[in-house]
This record gives sequence, structure tokens and C-alpha cells, in this order.
Amino acid sequence: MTLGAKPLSRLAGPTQLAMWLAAFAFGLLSLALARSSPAGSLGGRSWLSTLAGLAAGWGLIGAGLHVRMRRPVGASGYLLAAAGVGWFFVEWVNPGIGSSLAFTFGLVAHAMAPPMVAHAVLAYPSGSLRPLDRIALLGAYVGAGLVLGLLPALFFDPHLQACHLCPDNLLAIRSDEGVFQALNRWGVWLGLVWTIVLAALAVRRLVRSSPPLRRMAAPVLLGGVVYLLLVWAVFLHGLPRGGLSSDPFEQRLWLGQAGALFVVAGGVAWSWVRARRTRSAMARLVVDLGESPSPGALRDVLARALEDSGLEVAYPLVERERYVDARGITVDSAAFEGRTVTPLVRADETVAVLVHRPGLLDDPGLVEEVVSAVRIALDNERLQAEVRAQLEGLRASRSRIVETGDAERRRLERDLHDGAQQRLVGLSLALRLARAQLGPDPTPTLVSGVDQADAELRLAIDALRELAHGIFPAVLSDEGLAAAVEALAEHSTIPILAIAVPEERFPGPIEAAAYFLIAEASGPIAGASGATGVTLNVRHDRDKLRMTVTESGADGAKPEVRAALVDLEDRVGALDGRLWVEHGHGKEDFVIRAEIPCES
Amino acid sequence: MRIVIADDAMLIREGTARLLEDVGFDVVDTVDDAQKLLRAVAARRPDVAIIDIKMPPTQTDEGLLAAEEIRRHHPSTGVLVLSQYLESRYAMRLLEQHPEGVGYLLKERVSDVAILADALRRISEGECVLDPTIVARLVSRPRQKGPLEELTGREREVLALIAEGHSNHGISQKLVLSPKTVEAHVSHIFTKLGLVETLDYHRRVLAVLTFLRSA
Repeated sequence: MTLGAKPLSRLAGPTQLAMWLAAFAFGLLSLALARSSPAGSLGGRSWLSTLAGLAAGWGLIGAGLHVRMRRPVGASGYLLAAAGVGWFFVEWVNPGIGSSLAFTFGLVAHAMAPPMVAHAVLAYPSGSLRPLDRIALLGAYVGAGLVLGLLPALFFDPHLQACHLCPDNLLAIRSDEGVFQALNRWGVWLGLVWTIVLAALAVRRLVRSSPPLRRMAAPVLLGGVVYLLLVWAVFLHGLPRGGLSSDPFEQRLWLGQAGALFVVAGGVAWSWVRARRTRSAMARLVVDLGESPSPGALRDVLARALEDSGLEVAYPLVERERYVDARGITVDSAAFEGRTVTPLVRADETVAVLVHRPGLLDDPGLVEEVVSAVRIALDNERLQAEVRAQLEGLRASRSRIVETGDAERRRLERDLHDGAQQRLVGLSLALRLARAQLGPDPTPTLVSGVDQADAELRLAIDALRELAHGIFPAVLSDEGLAAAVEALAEHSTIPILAIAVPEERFPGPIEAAAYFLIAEASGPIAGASGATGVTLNVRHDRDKLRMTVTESGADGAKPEVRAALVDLEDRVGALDGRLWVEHGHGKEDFVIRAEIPCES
Repeated sequence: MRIVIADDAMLIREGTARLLEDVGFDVVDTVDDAQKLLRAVAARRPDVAIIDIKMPPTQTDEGLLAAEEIRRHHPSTGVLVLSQYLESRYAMRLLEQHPEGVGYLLKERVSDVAILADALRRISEGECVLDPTIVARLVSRPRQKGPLEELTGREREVLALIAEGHSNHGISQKLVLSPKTVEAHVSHIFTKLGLVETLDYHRRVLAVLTFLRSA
């Protein structure tokens, strides 16, 4: 869909203009011919039928012109106009027409209107046909154009076959009444079949459409069905006589057909009114969004206006490798599965795609109306989505850095415990065994040397344990936040009072962020600020982990405190959380607060 | 006394075995993972199994799980879990489930044969044993003001020994006090801490540990 082109500019060039004028003029000429020789005509016998005939044909041509102006893509406009022109062909088979060229044309083309109308109706509004429609229409064109048109014309010499007033038939190669009548009979039989088939296809189309499309296309399709049934009645009426005529009964049927086609033309106009209404309703909703709508508000508006609650708006990123939603979060292409993706294009660039129920936006005009109504909001949201996607990318990379760091810490802790510490314990054992083998009467200096080495080893083991614990406490990954905080309270140099710490497990990065926040607050930060105790309150409220760490008797303004907080902000920020410092209730208190999003 | 040792580090496993054999223990089997340990215990019916807390495959708490399993299915076999973790939480997991005949010592105690032998003896008699370093940390951890501050120095010593799993008899021997004096100290401690005094040895240990961990 192209955004923002002016409708009139779509009628490009004088050729187009001349073509449309010629189409209207053709209708006028056809009915003028009918009126000049009313006896052999359908539309010339009364002013009522003349006006009805003109209204039906011009209505379709006008509808086609209108569709063409609104939507230069797709053949629908041309098909409607062609059907309107075809509607007039039947007037040219009038014996009183006076021109052999015109009469010959009428002989060939007089039955072409029904397939052309069916074609336009079935292809409305997108201009494209389904395979089954294509086959049925091909049959109808053959039946009407060849079996009822060109082929009998080859065997019809009007002067030898009881039409003395008729002009010459320029195509007659041989006069053969028998072949002529047989072909006409076959044509009528075939007509009984293809009219019903096409009417059935139109009904099927109506039933299978999505609700919005059905509401839009219903008048067009229903008008088409009524028209085709009236044509079927004409064929049925012509069956006993083996051909079509213009007797009073067919006149009445013809008037009915004119009425049905007028409904088709009116339906096209109606769908335009509907699209306008959708558009202005949407424009109102977009205005309601205000100047800075929340991300996703546009999606809600579109979903409501188009009545598809599952509709999604996705924006292609500059690098074109992925789509993001309004929040800047990558849309999984699996979300497109089983749904239709309609690109919204401006200046050859896809600015967004709508992911929606199949068939919802079969009418390209509807898409266009939608898009022009929400253009500014769409642009606004697209730019915001791009910015958010960049921020999200930054956050993700920060989070990866923190996670990599944590994984490295955990690995280091394991290595120290399982490697170095294990070896030191083994060494201590070996020393002990060696000491036992010194014999019954060892040198005292040797014994004291071994004992001293053993004592040093024990100090090394202790130091190593503290180091490993500080790097990443195994209890955090083994047993979770509450257990790790409990262990921290056993290690700490100042009292840690835990009012509440949830016992449940959280994702590793969240547990690590929460743990290190508490460890820093009760360790280095408490040390730098001179806190005499720390009170913890950690709560899991729906989708957030809320932490409050109160440092008692502390000075939060010290630069060391600020520096330590920056590190914590990085950790919390990497999880899309926030961290801030408040004054506490007591004069000498300060409170570190953090909120970390977590799915519950 | 019949001992089984489970540790995935060969040096420590075999070294501990030799050290214990030197002081008269009968090491009937040494294994390197929890599955083999359970089979060895079922086959050999040792008095005590010495178990490293971290063993294959996950190297987290296989030893603890195996210890719980042994206490459940072989009540006549005591367990001594060796761990590099100072946190009391792992020890509590063990004691809360089956307080009799279990012990939790730091890994490096394997070379301290006196402590190791004492622990094994007490475990085989149905007592529980908790590493003195862990208890010391619990007793001396920083606290808000509370009843612990009202204890005398001697009472704190007695409290720590209760937490390590010693019986009144053991305490009186360690501190060289008469059993009557120890009983008086224990009574004072329980009153001051606001704990209900219980004659049941194992409930006494758990009550004291829970107090120390929470206060």
C-alpha cells in the first residue's frame, strides 16, 4: 500500500481520461441506438427502461472509476467499468441498427455482459480471483462469447434466415440455419450451467469472507448473485425456443437485471462510505491517544477498529533482519504463523507490517484508509519503537556482561573449592601421615617444623574459603536468596536484621543482583558509611522484587558510598530494574531501595 | 569401629583411611560416589560412614542426600558429613531430619585425628556432632541487643558445647566441672534465653541451634 498520494493524480494522463469518457459515451450511444429502433431493443421501448439501462451501465462504470481513483493497484476498477460497458453490448444486436459493422459486433458480443459482471463481482475488491473462480469464468466466457457469440455468427446470414431488415453480417461464411440453431441451443444450455455456478461461487465468497470484508463486499456480491439468477431465468425462458430474444418477459427480466446491477454499483459506493467511517472512527481514536500514547496503544486502536483482537503491529528495524513491537522487543517470526502479514509501504520502504487474521485486509483500499488515518501515530510509534529497540539492545548487552561476570565468579568459586582447597586439605593429610612416620624418637625441631607448616596450611584453607565465598557463595546457586542472606548474616561484621526475604527461587541473575545488593550494603557500603546495623525487607509483589535496605546510624553522602552504589545500579539496571537512595525515618539512617522486574 | 569413607578425591579418601587405621579404626571400604556408598553401607553395615558433601555428578549436595538416605534406611549406621561450607544451613538440613547419630565437620578436620576420632565415637553412640568453628561463628556473630548478652563467659562456653552436640557428661569432662555444676549452667542458660528446658538431648541441641541461627 502506498501512503499519502492524492487520489486525482492517479488518473494519470489524458489517455486515461479519454478512455473513461469513451466508456460513458458508449453507454449513451448504445441507448440512443435502442431508442432509434425500439422494436428490437431492450432499453429503447420506454423512457423508464432507457433510464434504467443507462443507470445500471453508468453506475458500474462510475463505480469502476471511483475504485480506480481510490486505488491504482489491482484490476477491480477496470473490471467494474468493463462490466458496465459490456452491459450495453446487447443493444447492438438490434436488427434496426442500420450498420453492418455495429450489427456484426452485436451478434458476437450480445451475451458477454453476464460473465463480465460475474468477473467484476468475484474479483471485488482486490481485483484478484481464486483458482475455482478463474475456471468457472473461463467457461462462462467461452459459453457467452464463442458458443452464443462468434460461432453462430459464422453460420448466420440474416437475409437468407428470415431477417430481411437486418444489416449484413460481416462474419457470415456460410448460411446454415441448422448449425446456427444448434449452437444457440447449446449456448442456452451452457448458460443455465455457468450462471448457476458463478452465482454459487459468489455466495461461497460471501460466506467465507472475514466479517469486516463481508460487511463491505456484501451488497456487491448479493447484487451480483441476483443479477446472475435473473440471467439464469432468461436462459430458462429461452430454452424452449433455443435462443435469446427480446420479448416482453425478457424485457421485464432485463429491467430486474438493471436494478441488480444498480445495487452492485451502490454497494461499491457503500463500501467507500464504510471505509471513510472506519477511517474517521480511527482518526478519532488516534486523536484520543494524545500526544504521547503509551507503547502498544496504536495496536489497540487498530485491533478495535478492524475487529481483530489478535492484530499486531510490527516495525522492521533499519538493518531489516528483525521486527520489533512498539515496546522495541523483537517479534518472534513464529507469531506470523497462520496469520497474514500486510506491509505498509511508503516511498518503497516498508514502515510497518500488520499481522492479522487472514482475509481481514483483502480490500487494499481498507488498508489504505487505515494507514492514512493513523499515519502520524504510526510514524511516531515506529520511531519510538526503534529507540526502544536500541535501548533494549543496550540493556541486553549490559545484562550479558553482568551474567558473564557472574558465571565467571561461580566458576572461580568452584575452582577454588574443588581444586585449590581440596589440594590443601590433601596436603595437610599428607603432612599428618609424614609426621606419624617420623619414628618413635624424632628430632623436636622437625616435629615443630611440620606442626607449624600444618598450622599455616589451616590458615590458608580458611583464607581460601572466605575468598571463595566472597567471590560467589555456592549457597546462592544451591539454595537461593533466603539461604544466602542467612549465610551472609553469619559472616557479617555488623548485625543484619532480615524482616522478610522470600524463600522462593528466582532466575539466577535476579538472585545474584539481589544478593550482591545486600552483600554490598551490609559490607563495603556499611563500612564506608559507618552503619551500625542493616535491616532488610525483600518482598515479591506480583511482577517485581522490591528491596529495602536500611542502614542505621549511617552517613549516605560519603563519596565511597556513591561509588559502590554505581556498581549496584549497573547490576539492577541490567535487569531493567531501578535503584535509588532515600533518607530513612531516623536522622542518621539512609535507605537503599531497588525494584527488579521478575515474572511471577 | 567399622568405617566406610566416601570421597571423590583419591588422596583424601586413602589418606583419611590410613590415618584412621593407624589409630585403630577398621576402615572396611572406601568409595568415590554416592551410589557406591549406598551399596557399601548396605553390604558392610559399618558403624559410621564418612561422606564428602560434594560428589559426582553435580558436585553440590550429593553427600547430604546420601547421608539422609543412610539415616532413613540403615539406622544402625551413623553418618559424618565433611564439608567446605561454613554456613550452618547445610548442617541444619542434616540435623533437622535425623538428629541422632549424625555429624557435620569442616573438610580440613580429616587431618585432625583427635577431633575426627572423637566425633566418630560420639556419632556411633547416637550423639550429634557439629563443627566447633561453625558453632563459634554462630555464637559470636553480630547481633542486635538480646538475651545472649546476659550470659556469663562460662555460660557461653557451655552453650557452645551444647550446640556442638556434647552431652552434660561430655561438657563436664571438657570443662573439668562437676556434673551438678554443668546442670546448673544449662538450667540458667535456658532460662536466660527464654527456651523451654528439655531433658531430651537431641531436642536440646536443635533448640539451641535454632536460637543461635535466628537471634
